[in-house]
Amino acid sequence: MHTLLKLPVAIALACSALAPAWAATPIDQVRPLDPRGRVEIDNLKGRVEVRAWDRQEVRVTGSLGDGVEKLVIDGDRDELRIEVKYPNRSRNTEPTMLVVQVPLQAELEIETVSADIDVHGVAPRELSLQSVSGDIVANGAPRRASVESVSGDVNLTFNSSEVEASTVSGDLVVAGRLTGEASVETVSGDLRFDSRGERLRKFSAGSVSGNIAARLALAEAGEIRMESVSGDLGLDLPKDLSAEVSGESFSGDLSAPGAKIQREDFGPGSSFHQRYGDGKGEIRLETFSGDARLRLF
Amino acid sequence: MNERTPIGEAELRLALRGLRRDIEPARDLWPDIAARIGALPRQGASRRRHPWLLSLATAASLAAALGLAWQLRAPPATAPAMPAVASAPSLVEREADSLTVQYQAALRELDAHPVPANWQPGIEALDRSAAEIREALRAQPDSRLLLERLRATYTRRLALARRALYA
Amino acid sequence: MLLQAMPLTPDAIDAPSAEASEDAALVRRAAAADIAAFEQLYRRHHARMHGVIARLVGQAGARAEDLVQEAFVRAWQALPAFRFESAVSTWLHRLAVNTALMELRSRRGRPGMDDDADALDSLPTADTAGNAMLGRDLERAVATLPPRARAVLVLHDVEGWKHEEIAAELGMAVGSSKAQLHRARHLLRERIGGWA
Repeated sequence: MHTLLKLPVAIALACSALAPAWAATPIDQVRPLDPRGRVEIDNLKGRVEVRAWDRQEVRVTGSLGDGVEKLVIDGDRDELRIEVKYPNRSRNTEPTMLVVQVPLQAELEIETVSADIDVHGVAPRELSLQSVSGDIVANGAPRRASVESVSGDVNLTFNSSEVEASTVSGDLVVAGRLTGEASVETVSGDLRFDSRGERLRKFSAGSVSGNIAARLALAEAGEIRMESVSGDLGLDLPKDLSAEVSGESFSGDLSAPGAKIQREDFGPGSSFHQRYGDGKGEIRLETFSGDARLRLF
Repeated sequence: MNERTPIGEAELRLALRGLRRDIEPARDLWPDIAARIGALPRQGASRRRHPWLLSLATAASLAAALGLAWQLRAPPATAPAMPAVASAPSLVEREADSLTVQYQAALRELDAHPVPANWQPGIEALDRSAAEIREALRAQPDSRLLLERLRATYTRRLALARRALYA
Repeated sequence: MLLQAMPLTPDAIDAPSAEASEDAALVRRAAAADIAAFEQLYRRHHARMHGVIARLVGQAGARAEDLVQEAFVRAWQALPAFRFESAVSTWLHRLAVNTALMELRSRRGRPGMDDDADALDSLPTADTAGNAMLGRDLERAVATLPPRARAVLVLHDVEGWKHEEIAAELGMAVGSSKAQLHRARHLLRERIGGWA
C-alpha cells in the first residue's frame, strides 16, 4: 500500500467494517502498570492503536474478530502482555481491533503480521514496532526506537536520539527532532528522512532500488553513509558543513557543490572527493546506477 | 576485597563473554544417543520424513556461511570503479556466485513450504532486488557495494522465509 | 570486587586447520553411516554444544541433556545434507542452538514463558552477594531471565551472534531482537544488584 490513511478516516472505516458485519466481541479491560512498565502487544490481523495517558494503568478496548481463540492479558505491574490468540492454521478469523491506552513512559513492543499499527504520544525509553504487511504510523518521543515493516508503509514522527527503521517494499518516512544516531533502510520503497534541523552523530541510509531523500545536520566529527544500487540518493545539509565528502557511482550521476567529478579513463565509473569547512566529519555516498547529489542549504 | 563498586557496561559485557565455556554433562550421553540413532528408520526414509529438519539444518549452514563469508573477507582498499574486464570472473564475482548457489539450495528447501499471503509482497520485492543486484554485478563485477547488498538481501530473504515458517 | 574470568574456548577458526580437517573427515564417514566416526564427533564437540544449550535453557540438567541428545540425533540425520559451507564445529553449534530454541520459537507467550521461578528463588540478594564472584552470580541471574530475553542475551552477549542471525534463528524481526536484548540487560542488572 502506498497511501497513508488519515487517522479519523481510518478509525471510521475500521469501526464500520468491524461492528455490524461480523459478530465481533467487544473488549474492555484494565490492568495496573507502573509508569515505566513494559507493554507487549501481539495481534496478527486488524489494527493496533496505542495512546498515552497519565494513569498508572493499561486499558484495552476494541473488538475481537470472529473466529479468534481468545484475548490474553497477562502479567503484573512491571510487565503486561496483550496477545490475540488464533487457533492453529486458521484462515477464517476476522480482524481484531485493539485500542490500548498506556502510561506515557511505558516501554512498548508491538508485533503484528497484517494488522496496522498506530501509536500516538508515547515517550518510553524503548519502542519497538514490527509488522509484515501492516502500515505503521507512530509519533512520540521514544529515547530509542526500532520500527520495521516488510511491505507496509512506515511513517514516523519522533523526537529521539536513536532510531532504526526499515521496510522492504513499503515507503518509509522518518521525521522529527532526531539527534544521536539514525539508521534507515529500504529495499524498493521510497525513503524520506528529516531531522528538522537537529544534528546527528551518525546517519546511515541504504536501499536497493528505492530513492532516498535525507535532510539533516551533522554533529561535529559526525558520519554519514548512504548507499544504493539503482535508487537515487539526495542529501541536504546546512551550509556550515564541516566534512570530507566522497561519492562514487558506476553509472549514475554525481553532484556536490564545488566538487570536480572524476571519470574513469576507460569505461564507466565516476567519483568525487570534496572538503567542506574544516573537514571534520565524514560523508560517503555510493551507488551502482542511481544518482547521488549533495546540496547545501 | 569487600569494596563494592558499580558494574560498568564494559565489565558486564566482558563478564558475559566469559560465560562462554564448554560444560561437560553430568553423565555420558553417547549410549542414549546411539540407541536413539539405532532406533531410527533407514536414512532414505528419514530424509523424506523430516523435510523441516533438513531445511533447518541447511539454512543453519547457509546462515553460518553467509556470516562467515563476510567476516573472512578483508575488504579490499576502496578504489574507483574498475572497467569490466571480459576475462576470468573476479574474486567478488566468484563469491557472489557461490553465495547465490548456496542461497538457492537453502531456499529451495524452505520454499517447499507455502508462504502465507502476507509475506508474499516482501518476498517478491527481495527476489526482484536480488535479481537486480546480480544483473548489476555482471556490469561491475568488482563491486564490494553490490556484494554486500546481495549478501544482505539474501540474508533478509532467508530470514523472512524462516519467519513465515514459524509464524 | 572480584571478577572470575572464565576461560574462553578458542573460536572455531574457519581456516584450514588440523582440527577442522579431522572433523571434515569424520563427517564424511559419518554421513556414510559410520557410527564410530559419529561417536568421535560426539566426543569432540558435545561439551561445547552442551555448554550453549545449558545457557539457553537456563542450566545444565535433565532438559539440557535431553536437548543435547536430540541435537546429535538431528545431526546424524542431517549430515548427508551438510555441504561444508562452514566448519563442522560451527554447523554443530548452530544445530545445538536451533534445537534448544525450537520449543521457544513455537511457544511464544504461553504460560511457562515467564521467569524461571526456581532459579529466581535461589538468586542471592544484593546483601549476600557482597563477596561473590561475578561469574557465578551472573550465570544464575542469566538463568532467571524470561526465556526469549535470555535466548537473545546468550546468543548476542555470550556467543557473539549478530542481531540479524538471532532474529533469523528465533523467527522474529531484527528490531524485536534488539528490544529483547535491551530488556535482558536491564533485567540482568537489576538482578545482580548492580554491584560486585
